[in-house]
Amino acid sequence: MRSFRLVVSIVLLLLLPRVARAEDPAFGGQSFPGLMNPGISANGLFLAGAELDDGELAPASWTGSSADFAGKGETFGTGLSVQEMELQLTSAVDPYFKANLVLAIPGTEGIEVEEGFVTLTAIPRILVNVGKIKEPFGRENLTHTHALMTIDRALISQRVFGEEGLNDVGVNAQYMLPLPWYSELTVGVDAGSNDVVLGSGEPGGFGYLAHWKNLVDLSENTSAEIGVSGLVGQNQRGGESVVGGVDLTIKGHGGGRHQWNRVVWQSEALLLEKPDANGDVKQVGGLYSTLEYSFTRRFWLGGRFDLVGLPAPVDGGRTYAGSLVAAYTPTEFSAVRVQAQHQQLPGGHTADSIVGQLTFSIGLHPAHSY
Amino acid sequence: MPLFPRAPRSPLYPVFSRYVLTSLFAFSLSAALAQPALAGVNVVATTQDLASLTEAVGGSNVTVSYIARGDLDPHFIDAKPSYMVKLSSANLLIAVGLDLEVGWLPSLVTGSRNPKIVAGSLGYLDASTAIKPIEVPSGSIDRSQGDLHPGGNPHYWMNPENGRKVARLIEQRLEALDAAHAADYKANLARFEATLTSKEAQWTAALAPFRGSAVIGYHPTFDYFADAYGLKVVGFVEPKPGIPPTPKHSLELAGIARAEGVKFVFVEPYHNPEDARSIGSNSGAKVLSMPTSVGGMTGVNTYTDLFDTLVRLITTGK
Repeated sequence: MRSFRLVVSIVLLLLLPRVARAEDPAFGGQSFPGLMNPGISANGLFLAGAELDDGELAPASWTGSSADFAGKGETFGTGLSVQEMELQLTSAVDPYFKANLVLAIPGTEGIEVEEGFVTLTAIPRILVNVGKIKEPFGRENLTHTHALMTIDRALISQRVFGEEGLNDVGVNAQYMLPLPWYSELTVGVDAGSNDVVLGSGEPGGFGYLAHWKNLVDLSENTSAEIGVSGLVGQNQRGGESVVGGVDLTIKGHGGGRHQWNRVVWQSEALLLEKPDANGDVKQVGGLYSTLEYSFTRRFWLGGRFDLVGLPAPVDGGRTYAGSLVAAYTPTEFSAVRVQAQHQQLPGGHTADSIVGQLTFSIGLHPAHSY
Repeated sequence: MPLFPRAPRSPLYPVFSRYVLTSLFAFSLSAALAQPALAGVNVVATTQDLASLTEAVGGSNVTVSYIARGDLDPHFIDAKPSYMVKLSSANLLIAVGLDLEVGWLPSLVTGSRNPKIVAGSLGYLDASTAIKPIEVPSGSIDRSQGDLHPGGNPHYWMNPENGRKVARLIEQRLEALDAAHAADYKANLARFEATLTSKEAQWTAALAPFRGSAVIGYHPTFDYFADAYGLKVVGFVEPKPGIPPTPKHSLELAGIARAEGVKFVFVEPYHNPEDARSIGSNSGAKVLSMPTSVGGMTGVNTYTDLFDTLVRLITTGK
C-alpha cells in the first residue's frame, strides 16, 4: 500500500508544472463567442413496465427488514416512468485540457452531477482525469445507462457498487503501454464515498483503484478485450474493503454489406470483501454474461445471464436471473427496446418483469462507443 | 488524525497491493523499453483513399496506415482502441473532414494520447480544406432532414480533380514535416499528377456516351463522381441521408426512375443491393454495386484503380 501511495504522489507531482501552464493569460479572450460554446447533447429514457413477484422476496432465513433485502435487482415496477434524462456538455478547455459535464435527472425530479471532470491531454501516452468520474473498473461501470445492452445494470454490479455504480470524485491517470496491442494501465484515487464498498466518511478515507485493460485484434473484424480491476479503501466500519474484477469482451462484425451483422459477448466477474459489523469478512461475488447479435442495421437481439453468490451464497442463497432484449433502432439517435427478465431469488422466490424503453439523443453527434 | 490511518484489512489486501500492483508497474516499465521506432514520417489516414494518395506522394519516405477499410461505411467505423495504438505514434493524421468521421475520430484522437495530431497542430491535416464542397446545406437544418453534414457532402474524393487537390495539400504538409525530402515529395506529386491527367482523359472519353444520363444513388456518395462526368442524380434509395430505405420510398423512386429514364442505380459495397432491386425491376434501371473507396472491391488497390473500376462497371454494365 505504501508503494502504491508513493507512485500516486509522484504522478501528481509530475503533473503540476503542466497544470500550471493552463493558467497562461495568453489563452484569454474570444473573437467569436458562439464558436467557443461547448458541444451540447441530451438524451432521455422512458419506460413502460409490468412486474410480478411472489410477494415475499427475502428468504425465510433473512433476519432484517424485508425492505433492506438487496437480493433483488432493479426491475422498475409496473407503470410508466422516466428512467433518466441527461444533459451533456463537452469542450476543449484550452490546448491542454478537455472538459465534460453530465447532469442527470433520475426520474423527473432533482438534478445530480453524474460526471464532471477535466482530462489533461497534453502528455504523450497519458490521460489524466480529475473530477467526478465514472471510474474505469471493468466494462459496465464505464457505460452510461442509455448505452447499456440491457435496460438495467447487471445484478452483481448493483450489489457491489450500488445502482449508481462506482462514480466518485477523484483523479486517475491512464497510461497506454508501448506495446503492439492496446494495453492501458489506470491508477487512481477517489474520495472513498461509494456507500456500498467504502463510505468511511473520513477525510482520509480514500479509495485506491487500478485497472489494466488489453485489447487484441483477432482478425480485421474481430477483437478480444481482457481487463483486470482492483479497488481498496477504508469503509464505514473502519476496516478495509477490497473489490476485484475480471472482464472479457469479444466483438465481431462482417465486412462489406454485412457490416451491420454484429456479435458482442461480454462477461464480467466481481468479488467484494468487506468486514461486517462483527469484524468478520463478508464476501459478495458473482458474474454476468451478455450476448448480442445484430441482424440488420435496425434490429438486434440480446440476452444476459446473472449469478450473484459466488464463491459463497449471499444473504441466504444465490440469485440467478435471465434477461432477453429485443431492440429496434430507426437511427443512431433513437431506439426502442423491450426486455423480459426472470429473477430466481434465495428461498425459492421469484421476480418477473417486462419493460419497454424508448431512448432518444439530440444535439452534438454522439461518439460511437466501443 | 494521520492522512493514511491503518485499519483492519481484508485478506485480499496484501495480494492486491503487493503482487498485482507491483507486477503491473514492472510490466509497463519493461514494455516501454521494448517498443521499436518507425522510420520516416508515420502517417495515419482515416480512409484508404487518403492513404493511397499519401503513398503516391510520400513514396518510400513515409509509413502509411489507415483506419476505415474501403469496404466499410466510413460514417460508422468502430472506435477500436487498436486504432489508438496506430495513432499514438503518428507524426501526421489525415482526415476526410466535413464531419464524415465525427462519430469515431475524436475519441480515437483523445485515446491516442498523442498531442502531435490534435486539430490545429502541424500533425493534423483536414483534407477537405483543399476542395470546394458541394451540397452545403443552407437555412435551418436539423436531424428531421436525416444525417446532414453542415459543411457539405464529404465524399469529395469521388471526383479525381479533388484527389489531385488533396494530393497537393498532402505534399505541402509532408514538406513542412520533413523538409529534407521535399524534392522527393515534389517529384512524386508530379509523377502522380501526370498519371492522373492521362487517366482522366481516358475516363472522360469512356464515359462521354453517358453524359446527361439519369442515375440514382443509394446515398449521396456518388454525387461528386456524377458532377465530374456529367451524370444526373435524380434520387436516392435512402429517403433521407443516413435513413434506411422504406418500401414506400422505393415505390416512389421506381416511378421517378421510369419517368426520368434512369440507366443505373449505384449501390455502395457496404449497402445491400437487394434494397434497390425493386427500383431496378420496376423501372428497367441496372443496379450496380460500385466501390466508393480504395479497398472497396477486389482489385481496387490505388486511387486510380478506383476510377478504372467505376468506369469499367458503368461502360460494361456489370
